Amino acid sequence: MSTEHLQKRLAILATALLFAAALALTLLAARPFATAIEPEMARSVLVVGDSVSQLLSRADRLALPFDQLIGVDTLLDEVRRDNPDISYLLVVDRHGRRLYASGLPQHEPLKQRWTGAARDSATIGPWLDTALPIMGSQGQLGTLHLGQQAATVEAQLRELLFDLVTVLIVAVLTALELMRFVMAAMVAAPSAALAEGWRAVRQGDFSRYLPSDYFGGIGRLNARYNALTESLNQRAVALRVKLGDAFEHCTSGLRFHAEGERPTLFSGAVDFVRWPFFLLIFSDSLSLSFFPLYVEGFYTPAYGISRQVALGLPISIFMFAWAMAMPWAGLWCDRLGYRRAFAIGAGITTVGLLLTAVSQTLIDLVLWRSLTAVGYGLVFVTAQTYIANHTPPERRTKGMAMFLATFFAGSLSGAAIGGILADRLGHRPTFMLSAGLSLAAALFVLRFLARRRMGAAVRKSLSWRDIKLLLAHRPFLVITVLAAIPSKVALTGFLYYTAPLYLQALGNSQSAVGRVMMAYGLAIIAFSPLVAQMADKLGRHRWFVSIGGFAAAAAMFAIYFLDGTLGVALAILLLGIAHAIGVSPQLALISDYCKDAVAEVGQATATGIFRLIERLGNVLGPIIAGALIATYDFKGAFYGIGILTLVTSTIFTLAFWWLHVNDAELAEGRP
Amino acid sequence: MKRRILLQAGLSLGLAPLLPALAADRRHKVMLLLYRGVTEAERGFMDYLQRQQPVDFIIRDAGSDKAKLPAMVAEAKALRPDLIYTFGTTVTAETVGSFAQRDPSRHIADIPVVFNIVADPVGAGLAPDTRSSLRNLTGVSHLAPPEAQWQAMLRFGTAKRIAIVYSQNEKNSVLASARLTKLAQQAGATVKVEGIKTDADGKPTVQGLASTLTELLTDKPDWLYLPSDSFLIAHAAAAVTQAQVAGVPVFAATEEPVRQGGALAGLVSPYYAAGQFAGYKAEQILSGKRKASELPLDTLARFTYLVNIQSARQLRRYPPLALLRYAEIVGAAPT
Repeated sequence: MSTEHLQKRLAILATALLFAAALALTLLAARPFATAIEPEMARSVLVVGDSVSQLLSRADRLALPFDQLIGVDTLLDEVRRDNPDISYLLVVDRHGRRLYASGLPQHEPLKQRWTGAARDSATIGPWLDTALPIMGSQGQLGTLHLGQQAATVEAQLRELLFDLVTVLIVAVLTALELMRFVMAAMVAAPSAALAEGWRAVRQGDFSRYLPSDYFGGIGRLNARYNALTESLNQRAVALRVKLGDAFEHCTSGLRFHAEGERPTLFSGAVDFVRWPFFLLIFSDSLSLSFFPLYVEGFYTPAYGISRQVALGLPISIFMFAWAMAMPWAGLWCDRLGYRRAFAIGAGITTVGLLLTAVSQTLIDLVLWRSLTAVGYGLVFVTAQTYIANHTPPERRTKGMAMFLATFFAGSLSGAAIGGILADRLGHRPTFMLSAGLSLAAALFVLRFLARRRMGAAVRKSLSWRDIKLLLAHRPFLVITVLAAIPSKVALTGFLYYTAPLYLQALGNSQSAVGRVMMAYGLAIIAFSPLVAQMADKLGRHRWFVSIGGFAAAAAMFAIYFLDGTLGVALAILLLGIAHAIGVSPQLALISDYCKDAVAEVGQATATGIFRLIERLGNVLGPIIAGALIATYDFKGAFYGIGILTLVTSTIFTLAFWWLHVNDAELAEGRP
Repeated sequence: MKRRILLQAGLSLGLAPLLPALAADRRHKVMLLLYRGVTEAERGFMDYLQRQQPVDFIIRDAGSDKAKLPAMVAEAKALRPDLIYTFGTTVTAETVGSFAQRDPSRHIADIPVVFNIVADPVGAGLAPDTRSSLRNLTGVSHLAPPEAQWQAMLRFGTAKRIAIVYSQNEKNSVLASARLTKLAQQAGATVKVEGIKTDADGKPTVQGLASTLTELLTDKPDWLYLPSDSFLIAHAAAAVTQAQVAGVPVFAATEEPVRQGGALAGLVSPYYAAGQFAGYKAEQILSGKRKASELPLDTLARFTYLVNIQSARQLRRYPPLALLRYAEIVGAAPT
């Protein structure tokens, strides 16, 4: 069995065990919570109830007759008005006789509770009834009953359960990523090094040592191996002194290292960069569910732009800075090496996030977001290049799919956890935490990535000539403008900008917003491999792009049929599925239809330019959505993006149909 | 909003900026012209002033006799104190004259005067408005505005038929009665308002009070209202007892009828707090920071809702439960 197979199985086994343990813990925790939430909810009205009961006690101490008090009903009405959580209030005397009341429901089982000697809280029918004794100078005078909607208890339980499930999903995704890294670092990399060492020895090369910083069996094995190598080399040195020139002759075909040197074998693995990349995407996505809301705190009409546009602007500028940073980041990454490029990128992101957390105005917020975007871009490119260069060419597509899976896993986990954190810690502390995680990613890379220059071909810098050449190519233009850009407009305009604002406006908590946004990433992760397989088998990439486009348009209209949080959740899920279907075949389509142009500028450059133009959609998304919200409200924005997607998808389909008819000799898809 | 003014009397004196007094070495002479002896108001005034700077007080009391007032003012003119404190509308009007009619030979103009316990200084003609007297006069009104008093009365319960009694020779009392009458009538209540029967000199008498009250109480109104009135305050116990025997609760604009007289309720400024506020104004004038004409004529910002619980039990007119949150209960057995 290959180590890779073993690794995969181990990772799955460990994750399954973790999932089972976490699930068991969740179920065990949920039960006591269900019993704890009743008193917890009752406590929320206890303060109010206490003040009423104190007042009644005071009246008694002033020798006012308990059953003839004035203005009690009015007082109870006022209390109920000031505390909408309380559905009814009732004062009964020692014998359970009703004296004063406000908002009493007609419910037989409740009446029985009121007439009996009730204590504490109990759920009766649709109500949670809390009984408080009213004490007088001569002992108990009576009882105050406070009623709450029991549905609120259920709603709270449901909310908590959702949070638990969210945490569970994120924990599993995180565990998978971490396991892959641990496996790679502890098993795959040392065994690969060992194999390489032995291969060298077989060819007579005794000059290499194995890494010595491992524990356990591998550590001991490496130590013995290194001791052996060392003694062999020492003997070789001794022999060289003794034999002089004859030494070289006798040992031809064998290699030893020079005295004082200690060359060590190091095996890098794709999975080494996955974990810190996951960590960084996770950290930056923490703010995804509340970022537009955070921006709202900085808005003043003094900026002279409408609120909706101003709220979208930081996202647009982030996307712009990210897009602009990418080509530079690629060159930087080549020059600095992965380790330094990733660490510097993560470092810049850390500083950016830290400053975002302490922003004072919209202007400096935008500035710090741009800085974050530059770091983010550098990390993105570095991780992408690292994975591309560490996977054999025949598995490049799979490598890229894995890169995207890690990206979306990090993104959805971050969005979901960020919502929960923002609910409990607030916006600024969550940004601080983001910065901490991003710093952790930087430190990780410094510790685990080799200090080695990459051997890959140094990429070309971007030139206007190449861009013009590609844009003059009609299929390329059609794919980028009519398929790629609208997808990104929907992503940033709808998912990153409009959805969090609308969900919040519908009265959802931050946790709920993060949770709902998670649906997009989940859909991508779940459907992408499936779609990739089907697309490769069927080969009709253009149909996938068309179907994806129409599905995205349909997603935007989901709200029309199902309004409210569920509708938005459905729209997000559908958009995820639509993008899983329609987005990745876009690049394949370019390879299919733009062969000559791609050949002229080079595959890597063509992809780079495609990505750069595509990211324009990221920039446009929030601006378009903001303008639509300002004029037509939230739903108008959904429909507007939907119409835009529908129109571009239709033209795209027609254009390709026309291209196809005119270009009959072009085979459908790849052979 | 209403509740705020009704809340426990807190002193608005908290805003007093305690700037270091420009130490005038000599001791100031402050003369107090009083109508019915030293009350809590004067204690508050003197306590406050003494804490701020060395000061000697000269106290003159009319003993509820209006006739003694001209002599007291003449003495003040001769003694020339640094500041004069006057108690009540009657004494103040006698000391400084009204804004429209003042006689420099009789009234004091060149010595700063700080009045206290004046129900309605503008209504009494002491000043054109409350921002400034436009002369060497400032002071503190102790009364809650009539609107607040009317609301307070409504808050206790029914107020459909109101009876009001006042001394015809006390300007503030006449004014206050008229203003409350207007408010109650606007709210749809019927109001019976009577001046206390007087003797030949036009002064109210104890017998006159009893017979006027008998007339007012015959058809058992919801409330008997006692305005801020020196005669009524002096005879509060008698008036309250007569009303309560007739089963009519009493609402008072001042403290004493509730605390000592047993009236059921009242919305009042504590005299002591009003005195402290007057002391604060006097201190600003004496230390040379401000002239009297630069200081506004103020009322306290907060009032105390007093409820006499003994009377409540006796009359079976229990205060609404919400009132127990903020009312000061008097007459309760110590617990």
